Amino acid sequence: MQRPHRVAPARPKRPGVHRLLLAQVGVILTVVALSLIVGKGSVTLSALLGGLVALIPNAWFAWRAFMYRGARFRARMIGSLYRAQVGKYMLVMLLFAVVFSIVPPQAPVWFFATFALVQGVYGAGPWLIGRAGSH
Amino acid sequence: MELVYIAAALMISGAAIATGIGFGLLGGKLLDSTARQPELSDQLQTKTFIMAGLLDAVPMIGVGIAMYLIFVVAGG
Repeated sequence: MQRPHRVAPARPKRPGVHRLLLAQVGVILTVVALSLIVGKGSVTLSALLGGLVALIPNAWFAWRAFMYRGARFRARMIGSLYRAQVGKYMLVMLLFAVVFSIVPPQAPVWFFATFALVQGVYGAGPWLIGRAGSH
Repeated sequence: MELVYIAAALMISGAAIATGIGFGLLGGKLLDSTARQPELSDQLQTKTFIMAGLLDAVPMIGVGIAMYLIFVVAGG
């Protein structure tokens, strides 16, 4: 008698979101290097903090948003996306509050410019992730 | 000085409302299109993720400037 052949359910692959996060790290490092050339240490610290305040919530968002995949789990998928966004919003506010109360940036322009640049990496998302979800 | 707090409150609440509306629309469309074409759910989820990141980029900068007003301009 032939035993039934058991196959583990195929797990959907996660898209290349890590490439997006790596690009954000690259933007931070580039701006920090530029600030080292152009400005003083306080400028570098401001740029670094601005980048980290954007990067940490984005990493949380990327991890939390893709906890569930597949059409069977669509209700959980949406719930996870909403929770990811709420967490990101709270995390951004918390990090801003911590940075501004403990280490107020000496160069606010560099701080917000790095923050905006890291957020802007999402504009290159389709190119960085490739044909989204097709691999 | 109170005007700074009012301005910051308006910026944060405006950002939260805008993000909430955008995410509501985005999530609704994702749910709708996933139910219609389940085989595309992975692609749709990834595209939603990218759109979500773009959606809240500008409100987040607004939140940052509001927090700067509260903690540095008004507090300092």
